[in-house]
Amino acid sequence: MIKAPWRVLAADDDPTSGLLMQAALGGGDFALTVVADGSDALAEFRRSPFDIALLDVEMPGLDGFEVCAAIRQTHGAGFPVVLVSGRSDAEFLARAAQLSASHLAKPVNWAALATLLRAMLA
Amino acid sequence: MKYETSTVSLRARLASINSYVLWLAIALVCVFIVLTAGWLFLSVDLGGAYWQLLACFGLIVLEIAAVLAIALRLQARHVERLVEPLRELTGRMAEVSVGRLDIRAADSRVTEIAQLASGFNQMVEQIRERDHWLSTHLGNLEQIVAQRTRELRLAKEAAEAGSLAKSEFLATMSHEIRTPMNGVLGMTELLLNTELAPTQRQFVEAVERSGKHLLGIINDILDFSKIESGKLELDVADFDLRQLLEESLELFAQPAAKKGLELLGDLPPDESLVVRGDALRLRQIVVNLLGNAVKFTASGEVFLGLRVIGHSEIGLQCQLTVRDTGIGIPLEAQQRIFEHFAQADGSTTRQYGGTGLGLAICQRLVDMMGGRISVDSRPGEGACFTVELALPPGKLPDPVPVPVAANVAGRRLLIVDDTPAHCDILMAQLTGRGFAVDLAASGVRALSMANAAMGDGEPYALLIVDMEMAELPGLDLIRALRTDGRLAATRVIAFSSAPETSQQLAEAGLAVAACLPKPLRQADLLNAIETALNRRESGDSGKAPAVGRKLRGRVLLAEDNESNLIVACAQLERIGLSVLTAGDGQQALDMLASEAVDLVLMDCQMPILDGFAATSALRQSEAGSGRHLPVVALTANAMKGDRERCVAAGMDGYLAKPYSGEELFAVLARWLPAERRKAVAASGRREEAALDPAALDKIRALSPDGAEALVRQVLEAYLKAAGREWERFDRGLADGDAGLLASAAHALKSSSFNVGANGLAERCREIERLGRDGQMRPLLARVDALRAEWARVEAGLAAVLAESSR
Repeated sequence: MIKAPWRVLAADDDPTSGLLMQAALGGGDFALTVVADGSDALAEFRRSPFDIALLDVEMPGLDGFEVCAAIRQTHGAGFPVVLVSGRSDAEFLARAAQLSASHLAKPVNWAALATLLRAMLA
Repeated sequence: MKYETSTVSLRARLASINSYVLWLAIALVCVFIVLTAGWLFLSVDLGGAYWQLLACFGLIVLEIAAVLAIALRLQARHVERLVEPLRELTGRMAEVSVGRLDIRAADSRVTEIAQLASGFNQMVEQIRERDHWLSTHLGNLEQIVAQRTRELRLAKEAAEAGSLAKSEFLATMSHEIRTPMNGVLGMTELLLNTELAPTQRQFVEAVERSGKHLLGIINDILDFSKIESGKLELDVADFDLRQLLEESLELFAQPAAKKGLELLGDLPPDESLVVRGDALRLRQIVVNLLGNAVKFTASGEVFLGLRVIGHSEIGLQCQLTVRDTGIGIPLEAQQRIFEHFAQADGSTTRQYGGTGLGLAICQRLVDMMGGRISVDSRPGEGACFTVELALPPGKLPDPVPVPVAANVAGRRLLIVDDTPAHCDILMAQLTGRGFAVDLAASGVRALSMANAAMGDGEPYALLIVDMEMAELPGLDLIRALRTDGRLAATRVIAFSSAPETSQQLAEAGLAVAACLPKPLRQADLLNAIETALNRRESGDSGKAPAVGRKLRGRVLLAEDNESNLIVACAQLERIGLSVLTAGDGQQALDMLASEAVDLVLMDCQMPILDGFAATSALRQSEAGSGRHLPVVALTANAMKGDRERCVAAGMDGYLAKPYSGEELFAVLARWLPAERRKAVAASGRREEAALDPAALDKIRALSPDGAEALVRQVLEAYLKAAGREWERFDRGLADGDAGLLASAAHALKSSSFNVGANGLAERCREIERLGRDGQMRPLLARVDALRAEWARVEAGLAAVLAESSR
């Protein structure tokens, strides 16, 4: 039985990240939508269903936290959200925990990203 | 009673007399009757008369007694009248003697007593007055003493303050003089390393010479004042005396060669000379003596000799001799020359220059080492300075091997040298090692001796040839040898004071086993002989030249003096290090908080926060983290206590200004790894650092099929995005908008990590942090570095893109 690909929404204003995200998750079991800012992410999210969201924290428009908070309001705490950030300070981690979001450290290890997401979604 | 008894006895006696008289009368009457026929008896009764007589007598006795009694009484009263005032006076005197001076003797009617009393009173009065005077005078005296004491104390304090001020002044002067000297000498050194026209080079070399000379004088003055004030302390470390002396000699190889002097060293050939003491100061003594010898000698030779007199319980008893054939020192001046500011002849100061402090310093140093320095000289014939020292034996971590040439004993050597003293020294050294040595005093003689030896069937294994000989110079001798059919193969070691000799030999097509510089080092000569005799390939026996040696790492240079900053930067970059600069301690700390640095060069005196405080702060911030960033102090104060202050502040090393590139290298090499890659690789290293190739490989790994296409895509996207971020960044700079700067830096950071521009990403991270904190000043200080890094990244990316498009 062929499983339907996981639908992933990735929001990052850095075009290289977008490209690399596509390259990293391009193999079969992920259907990736990449947007460049928080507002687009939220609009896309409302438009179509997703299995997981990868949100850059620092983006123009709405930042990752705000997008995540909006998702929590509509989809509840169970929806997997991954905050992608180079920050790892206590304040950031506390805020992420408050939003029940996972944390993916920048710089992202692209080669391991697919495996990581599979583990999270399985 | 007395009178009564005498009275009684008198009456008794009178009664007995009466009875005698009666009996006498009777006897007379009887006789008269007997004698005479008739007798007339006459009886007279005398009793009444006697009684009357007795009564009269008694009366007289009574009267006498009465008169005596009255006289005694009267006398007693009279005596009483005289004695009483005397007694009183005695009493007064006793009182006076216990210190009651207000007592006065009463007047007396007796003139003499009255005089005595008034005399006594006068005396007491005088005593009183004197006491009074004494006490007031004592008070005065105390006052005077107190005043004097105060004056003296003030004078002493003034003197101490003066002395302190002098020390401070020296310290300050030392700093003030050394700082510009560092600039001058450093710049000169750098200038000499650039391409210069011959005349320019000549000028710059003159500047360097003068600068070094000036520095020498300054050091002399500072040294001397340190010694005079008892602030100089001798170091104790183990060192190789032989090496020290040979190095000292080498220093003078060029100056001696320039004046045409033979520089000779005669050191005991086969003894270990590792001793303990202050090598620096001993070298100072030797260099000073050699310097004088070379300076005051116009022609002839300068000889440095060491003789080991004996081994005692305190160590090596040695006698160091520096002899020259110069102008000499007149007898009357021989003692004076050890005094400061004195030269043998006042006019020599003008003719030869110098401060006249050198020998004074030497003598003080030798004294401090417990040795003796003496001079023996005859004017016009040269001088001979002898230093006698006892040095305790030392031990080096890797013992210096006593130069030994093995398996060559018994071989025949010919020394060709026209300096008899040098011949003797070489002869002694080489025969001591078992060689059979002959001497030839000229090239012509050498040729005939070599021919004769060949004819005898015992040819010389090796010729050791002085290149500078008056008659048939070494070059011609070797040429003659090479053209002689029989002798052509003779091995030759040449030695010369001219550095270009080996080149000359090579140009003339004359092969020699070795060409050694003068003065000959024992170890070098023996190595060369051994190599020549064993026909081994002559390795690069010379020291690896410092030029071209490189270190790896990133150095933060904190220095406020601009010219010193430029010098140090250039020196560091020449060594191969990348340099960050800070103008004061605070800036240095700011940069350290953000930049990864391998070592800090910290000037001690800087505005805002000096090097000591900055280092202390750094050490505090490191406390408990296990990190320890090496900090090397740069200081112009070569005064005592500097080193201690540096250590106390937590600095690891110490470099006194002015320093040469060599010294800088030597200090830094303790902490920084050597750059082992070749220079070509080093130039490529920067690109490697700008872009981590592993990151691009990871990108390629994401899409094995279209690897290069993906890389291209990512890099192009990166360049495009980066261009956009740079625009934002520049806008932020123009507007002074820290938030915008931080945001742009953040964006640039994330994407830079993705393409492996890790250095750039780190710099962005730092700028982002500073922007968020609103710290514009340190942020602006880093913009240039960011741009420079960006330029490198751009260049690196361009190279990668160019490659991938092929």
